[in-house]
Amino acid sequence: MPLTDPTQDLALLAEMRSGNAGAFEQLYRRHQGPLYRFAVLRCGSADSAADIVQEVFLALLNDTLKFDPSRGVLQGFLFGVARNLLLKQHEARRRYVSSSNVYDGDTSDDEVVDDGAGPLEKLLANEAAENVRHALQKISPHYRDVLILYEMHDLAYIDIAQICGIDLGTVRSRLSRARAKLLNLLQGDLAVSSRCPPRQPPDIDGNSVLEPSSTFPLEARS
Amino acid sequence: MSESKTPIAILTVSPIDRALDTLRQEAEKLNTPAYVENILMAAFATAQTGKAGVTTAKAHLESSRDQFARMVSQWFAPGFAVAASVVMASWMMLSPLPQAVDDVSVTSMSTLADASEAANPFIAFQSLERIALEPSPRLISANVPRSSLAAYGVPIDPETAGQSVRTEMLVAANGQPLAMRFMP
Repeated sequence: MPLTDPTQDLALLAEMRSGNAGAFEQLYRRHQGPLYRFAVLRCGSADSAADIVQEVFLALLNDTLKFDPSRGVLQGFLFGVARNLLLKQHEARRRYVSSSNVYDGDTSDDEVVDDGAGPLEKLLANEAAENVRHALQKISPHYRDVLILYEMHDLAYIDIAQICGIDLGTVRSRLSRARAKLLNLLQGDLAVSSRCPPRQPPDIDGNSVLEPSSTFPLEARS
Repeated sequence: MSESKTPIAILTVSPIDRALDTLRQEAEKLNTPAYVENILMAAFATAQTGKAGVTTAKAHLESSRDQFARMVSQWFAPGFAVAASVVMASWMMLSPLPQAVDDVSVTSMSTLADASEAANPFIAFQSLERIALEPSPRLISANVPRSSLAAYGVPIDPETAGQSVRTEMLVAANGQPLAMRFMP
């Protein structure tokens, strides 16, 4: 399900191409949020995500990447461009990932990766959400794409298939594996954290302070 | 999922859904930094200026072409007509008179001299006032293909059509052609 009205997007795009700055601004504001969130969760860096959003809209502005309305909605097109840019960025960072075609095989065992992006930035205020995001970073990019687009952006399978250039069956299987992998990672982290609980700074009276609100509910289950 | 729910309620929801729900709620707060919008709006303005510049340049080029075509149609044809008239007048004056040969006077001889100079007259492209008011005109030599003269009604010999005609052009300081004459 598209997050924005495709008809209105097309009208704004036409106005933008005729030189209306307001239309471009409106298009940007409609799409920047989802694109930025996708990029942040995908690459784990706020700066890189901002660069990706900027490049996507510059491509739209310069019409270097021809958007064809008959082949899909603008939102899907923008997500697709962002994903391609992220893949290029990822490949540049990790030379041993030869190309995005590697991701098209659904039988590979590389479901968990170390993304090699250096120390993970703290992007979210909520500790539990941040833990989930860190676990997400450990999932292989082709699984991560599907998981983010489906779970965070409520996109339909068909839209995800188009964005990622895969068929519907692959979307389903990748989503299933990604969810299982994420659960495994979260439970694994919790098992470690339950064996070695993080030390909390003492309060003013010297007593240990526990913050149940900042811990993910799964911790209670494990 | 709120923290106030009982453990039983928590267990009935898939843990992975709870995890993703938590992440989704937090991620919703993220937006692209404001500077990106500023950069993009500036890029949009630049792109529009560039497009306008290209449009203006095209319009200017078309205007120049029109101006040149107008100049050719307005000035060259009458110019050649004037030149033809002068040549004809010179030829008439140089031709031996059938009668009263003795009447060829000093006055006639001076006219003949003037006519020889007038054999290479300037063909004006601009008004005489405009030419007279030009503060620093320049005279430049240029070779014009003979074949291009056909458009102005000048008869062309096919054997020499590939050759050039030597001309002198009177040009204003800003490069605008004022007048032209053919050199022998």
